[in-house]
Amino acid sequence: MSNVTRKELAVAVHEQLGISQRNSSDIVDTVFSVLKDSLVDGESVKLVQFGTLTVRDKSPRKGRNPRTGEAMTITKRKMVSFRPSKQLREQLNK
Amino acid sequence: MNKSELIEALAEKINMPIREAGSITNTLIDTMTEALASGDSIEIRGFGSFVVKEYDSYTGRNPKTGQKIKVSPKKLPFFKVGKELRERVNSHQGGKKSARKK
Repeated sequence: MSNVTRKELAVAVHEQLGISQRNSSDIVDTVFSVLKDSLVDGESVKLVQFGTLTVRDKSPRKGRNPRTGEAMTITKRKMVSFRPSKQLREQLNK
Repeated sequence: MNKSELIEALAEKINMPIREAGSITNTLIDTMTEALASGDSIEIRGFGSFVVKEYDSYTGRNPKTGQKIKVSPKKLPFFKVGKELRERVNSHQGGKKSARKK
């Protein structure tokens, strides 16, 4: 098992599409920055074959500082959640 | 944003035809899918990571009927948002503390 990073994705673009390595890595960065901008605007990203990334609001809740045991309110915040598409789930379980 | 909107935005930013931006997008999605299918994880700094968790088979219940069912072993992908994206998504609500005041 290994870890796929931007580097491996850039290599795939380079090898499969014949785009220079330098351009490939810029392009990969651009793809993720487009995705990030959309999510930062609160707009979810739906890639049919892969899945959907959504920004969800989490309401404030009571929590404790695990170190001091002090009770505190955890402010409301947003989180990004991912729902895999049916196709992706099927691919993983083939 | 769906895939074709992503492709359009990409084409514009990298100054390439839609067709090529489409091939690039598909190559990325395919590469990521294959990685997860072979049990690899994906880690994009600043964006987030995808990790596959494996579940053994277990006996579950249909929550509606209470009927016992055997759930076969499965793998599921999970996403964990990266630090930069998490912070940017949150900074858009105008400061965490002031946002709580009613």
